[in-house]
Amino acid sequence: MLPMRSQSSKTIDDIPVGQDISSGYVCWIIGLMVFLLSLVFVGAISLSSSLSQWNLGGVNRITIEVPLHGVQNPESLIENILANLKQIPSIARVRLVDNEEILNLLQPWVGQVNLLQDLTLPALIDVEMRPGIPKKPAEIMTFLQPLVPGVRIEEHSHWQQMQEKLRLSLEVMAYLFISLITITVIITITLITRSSLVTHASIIDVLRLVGANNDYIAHKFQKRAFWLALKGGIWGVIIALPTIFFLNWLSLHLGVSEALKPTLNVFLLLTILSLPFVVGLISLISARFSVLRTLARLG
Amino acid sequence: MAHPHPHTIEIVRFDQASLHYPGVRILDNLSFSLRIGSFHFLTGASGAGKTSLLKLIYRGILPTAGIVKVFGKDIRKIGAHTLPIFRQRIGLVLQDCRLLTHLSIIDNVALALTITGVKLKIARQQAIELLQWAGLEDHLKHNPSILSDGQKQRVAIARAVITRPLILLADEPTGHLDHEAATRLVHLFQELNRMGTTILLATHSRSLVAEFPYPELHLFQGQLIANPYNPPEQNYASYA
Repeated sequence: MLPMRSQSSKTIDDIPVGQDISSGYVCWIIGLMVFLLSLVFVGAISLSSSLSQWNLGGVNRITIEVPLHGVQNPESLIENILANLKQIPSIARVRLVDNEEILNLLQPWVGQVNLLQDLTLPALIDVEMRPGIPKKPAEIMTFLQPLVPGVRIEEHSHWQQMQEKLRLSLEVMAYLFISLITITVIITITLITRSSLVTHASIIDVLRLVGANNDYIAHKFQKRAFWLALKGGIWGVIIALPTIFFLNWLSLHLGVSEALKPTLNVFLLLTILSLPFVVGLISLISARFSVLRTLARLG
Repeated sequence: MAHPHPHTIEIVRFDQASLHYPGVRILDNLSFSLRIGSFHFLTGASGAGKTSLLKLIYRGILPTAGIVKVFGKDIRKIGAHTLPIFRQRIGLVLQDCRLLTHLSIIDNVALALTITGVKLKIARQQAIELLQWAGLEDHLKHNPSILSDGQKQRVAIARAVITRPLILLADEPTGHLDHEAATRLVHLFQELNRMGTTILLATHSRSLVAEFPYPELHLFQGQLIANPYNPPEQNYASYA
């Protein structure tokens, strides 16, 4: 005699979707997707926040880089340049950037800046132009060239444009990746749901004959898809969080540039923690549409 | 104003209904009606179109010509949203029973109620009562696969009538049963009919039809004909 079935549950497990062999695979696939998505979020947001921290000044500013290598009396040279610059009508303010600030600016790129202490760094002069007067770097260059051969002028607006392009490219890449993962989740859930519909076709047929509506049947599949995705997503996050902390720790010990260090702020943490629910919701909707579409086709 | 007598109300009406596929005439120009509370046998050889006729009534298929009205409504006008409610008013017993083997016998019966939103506890209670009526009280929590064919049919009948349908369609329910078991099963249908359920029972068993005093719809090559085996008065009322 076959064993008795449990009579204690609140609903009848009429479509045993939980027994599908594919369930385990779905969990793993979703888990992997959420893991990758978490890393992409951390990477993209870390880079984006690093970029925003690079204060390159406003559009009315330029930086003059004065090479000091081989200069016998750098202090008097710089004083001479500063005094001359102040006489140019279009210049509102000049400021000599101190060495510590230069090292701070270099830190994201070089990492261990203490190695640079013994090197002769060029002097940087922060120049603020009068607003409304067009910048004429060529004119300033003509004026400085005889005083210091090899002098360079950096226009910040050029860097800002590059920075903006880089930030946009990163954003686009992140969105592309998120879209790719969303599409993968939708395709996976749709295929698994369709396969499950085929597996349980005879049961669904019976249920429809006794008067089950399509919503009732869809509910069984969407509930299962949601829980599978949620379970997989939670596993993905559980693996992703220590991975991010490990990468952060590794980057600290390997002297990786600040700009490339993965950071995890409260917003990012909450975003990552919400991923399983978001993926669960996407799975629920995908499963529901898949079932309703298939049943509608059956008539 | 006088109300019509319930037994004069037509529950099913076929008006020149046909079911044709390219090169095949399954059902041809059928016109008949079933009154509420009636009991009819649907007879005919295998392939005569009995199953197709039942499918038309529960809107498993649509006629290719003519009109089929069930509960006064043209089945073509029953949309996907109203079909489940329509089906809940029709009890269906098929030859292969279509019981769900991963569920207990109680749950097989109770699920017909739970899908309509009835709480499981209430549904199970009603299922137990029905299974006791069907003589299956010793098998309530068993798996359907351990039951005999006759017992399975009784479970299928319990599942079909738990929603108190207006009409019960049975497609060869006695097909796998010996004569004694088949007779017992028809007695169950008879009891349901006495309680007011309209019954249409498809069978190819002549001995069974001969044993009960109910009119017969006889299908021959997709057409309803006066059955040569029956006295003329038994071919009456069904034909429009």
